[in-house]
Amino acid sequence: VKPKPVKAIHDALDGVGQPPAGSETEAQLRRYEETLRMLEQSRVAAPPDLAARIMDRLPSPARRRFSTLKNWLPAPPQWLAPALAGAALAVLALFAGDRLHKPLETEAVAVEVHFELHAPGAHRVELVGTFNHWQPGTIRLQGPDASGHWEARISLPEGRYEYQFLIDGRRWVTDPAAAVVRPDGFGQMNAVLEVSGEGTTL
Amino acid sequence: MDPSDAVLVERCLAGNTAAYNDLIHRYQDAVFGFVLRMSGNWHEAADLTQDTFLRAYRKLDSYDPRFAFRKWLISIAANLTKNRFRSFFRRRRMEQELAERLNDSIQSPIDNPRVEELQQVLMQIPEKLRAPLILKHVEGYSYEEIARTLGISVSAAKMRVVRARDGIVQRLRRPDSGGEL
Repeated sequence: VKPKPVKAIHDALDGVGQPPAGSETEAQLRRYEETLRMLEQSRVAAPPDLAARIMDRLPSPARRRFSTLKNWLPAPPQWLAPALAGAALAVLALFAGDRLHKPLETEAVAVEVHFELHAPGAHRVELVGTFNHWQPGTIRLQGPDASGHWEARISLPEGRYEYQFLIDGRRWVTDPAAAVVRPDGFGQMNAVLEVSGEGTTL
Repeated sequence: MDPSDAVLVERCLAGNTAAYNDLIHRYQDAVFGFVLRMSGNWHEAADLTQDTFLRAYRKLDSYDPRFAFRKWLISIAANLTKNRFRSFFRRRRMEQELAERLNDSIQSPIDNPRVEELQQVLMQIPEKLRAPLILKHVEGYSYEEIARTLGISVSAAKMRVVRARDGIVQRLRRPDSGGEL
């Protein structure tokens, strides 16, 4: 027997009006309620690798900023790209001839930096900072060893960097070994790392 | 204490993509659940969830933090799903395919046969009724919110929810009927 659509049932489901009277209508209402409860409770979890797949496909921050900017700019005229390319070539021609005969005076120095964190309960520890454009999933620490320490050694060119550890993809941790920290503007602290040829300051 | 959605969005906009990972973890089940009920297909739902989060990321600077981030995501997911069903012929073909694939496509973390049957019944009602029903009874939207999300009037939202409820209750076998529709 198909239940007839009854306004009183829908009003009751929406929490308005009087509860329906009559045993048949009440039975119908219970059936609606049971069905909707099942619908509400039939919750499912997303596939476990979904977040990682989405993160892999995110555009880089620089590209995202450019695409945002692009929305605000008027469409460039057709001649703009060739004109810019020509101008770039002209500038290159002016400087390249002179520089090609001179060796570079300074070479960029890469320095190996050791990162370490004590996190015995963690399943995954990552290093995320300005050197990898705050992109997780690129630098993983090895560990934990028997004492719960995680570590990574990476080569960085000279410069100033900021970073945090990311535990299990969720929890941000400031490097407790950092001598210099600065607020990240969001209520947490970034560790500051100065890398130079003479030595590295954490 | 976990940072709020608005704080995570600010971090993303400042170039910290890891903050987006937190937002994904926070809402992937909600978005996936919504599109799975809409599409009836596990792989389709995974694709639509990915597309929803990628589109949201590209539009992040247009997100208004006065509104719930979850609702903003669901509205993107609803629009993406609607686009997939937009063409009549594509819709008809897709709904047929979905009905055929349904039995093996809802790989069941849902181990309740009644709930599985409900999923199948859900796929038998039109997409334009399914979306308001899910928004109302799974996401807990008001009729005004449904209207805003789907770009329809409040009275149309109410009418569609009523028709959808009738549709699934009429199609679902009674638990004691032994096969009676």
